[in-house]
Amino acid sequence: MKIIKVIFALETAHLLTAEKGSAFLQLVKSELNSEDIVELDFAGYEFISSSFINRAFGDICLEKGWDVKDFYSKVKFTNIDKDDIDDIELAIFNAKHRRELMDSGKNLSDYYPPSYAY
Amino acid sequence: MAKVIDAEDLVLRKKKLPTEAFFVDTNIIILYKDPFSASLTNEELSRFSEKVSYSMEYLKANYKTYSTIYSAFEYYKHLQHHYFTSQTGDRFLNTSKFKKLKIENEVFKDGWKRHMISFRKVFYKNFPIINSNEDKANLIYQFESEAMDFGDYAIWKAVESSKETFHCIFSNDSDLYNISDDIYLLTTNPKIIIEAKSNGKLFI
Repeated sequence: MKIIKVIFALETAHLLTAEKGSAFLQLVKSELNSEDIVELDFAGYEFISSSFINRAFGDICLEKGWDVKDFYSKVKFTNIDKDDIDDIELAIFNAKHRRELMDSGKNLSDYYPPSYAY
Repeated sequence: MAKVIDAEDLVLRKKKLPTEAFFVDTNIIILYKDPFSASLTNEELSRFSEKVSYSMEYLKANYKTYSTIYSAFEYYKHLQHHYFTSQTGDRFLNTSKFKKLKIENEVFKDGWKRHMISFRKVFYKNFPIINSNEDKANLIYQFESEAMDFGDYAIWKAVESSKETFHCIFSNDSDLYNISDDIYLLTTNPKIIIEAKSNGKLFI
């Protein structure tokens, strides 16, 4: 099993930006496409944001149509807070649902209208 | 008018908040948590969410961070409404249908359970609720609906009832710019920052 030490790969303990999340996905994408499980070791990280999570894990699940179970057939997490794993799983659930809507020809904006947040 | 603090500038220049704590408004919690992963398919929201996360990481490390029960209600309703729409395509929440789906539809049930795990964590771990001292019995009587929404008003009064060194709200809602000037409004909203600058209300 290949082990990727996340903070060494990204040279930061602050997993904050979408850009970093995309960079991380590019680093691990070939591993995710292989048959073997890749271990992502988060030892030493200080913070992980929703922007990072969506780019690093949501995008690939949206692309492949993976659900949480499919994802765990490819990835093992170590040294990461349980609460952060919950957030990653929720992002995967959201990505999978979007993919299903897209595959069935539904208009995403009917299901995810613009947020009132701003 | 509130005294405005540019959150990004504060973090970038490692400036100090004039208070020892700050409260988060519901719109900031939504951007911070992005519970429906809007940033997956919405670049603009992704940038807003990132700005808030960037500021929050520094602020939470250096200051006490709180929320109010009013934000918890607003956030819960946001989750319920948007989760229902995301699963059904119905724009309006049908509570009977929601309850039925929660019992009978396994996917719906699984997703809602995940949202509720996150909901609890938001208000216990990320932004713990403070037991505020505002006059709750008279809150509605005193509320002036022309100026702002009831949720904003209730949060303002909860913050105002806390000790003076807690008088700071992190929000991107421009209605909160109109509250009393003994409250600091921490924001990443450029419109509020520009307005405050022109009114001489930009604190730092």
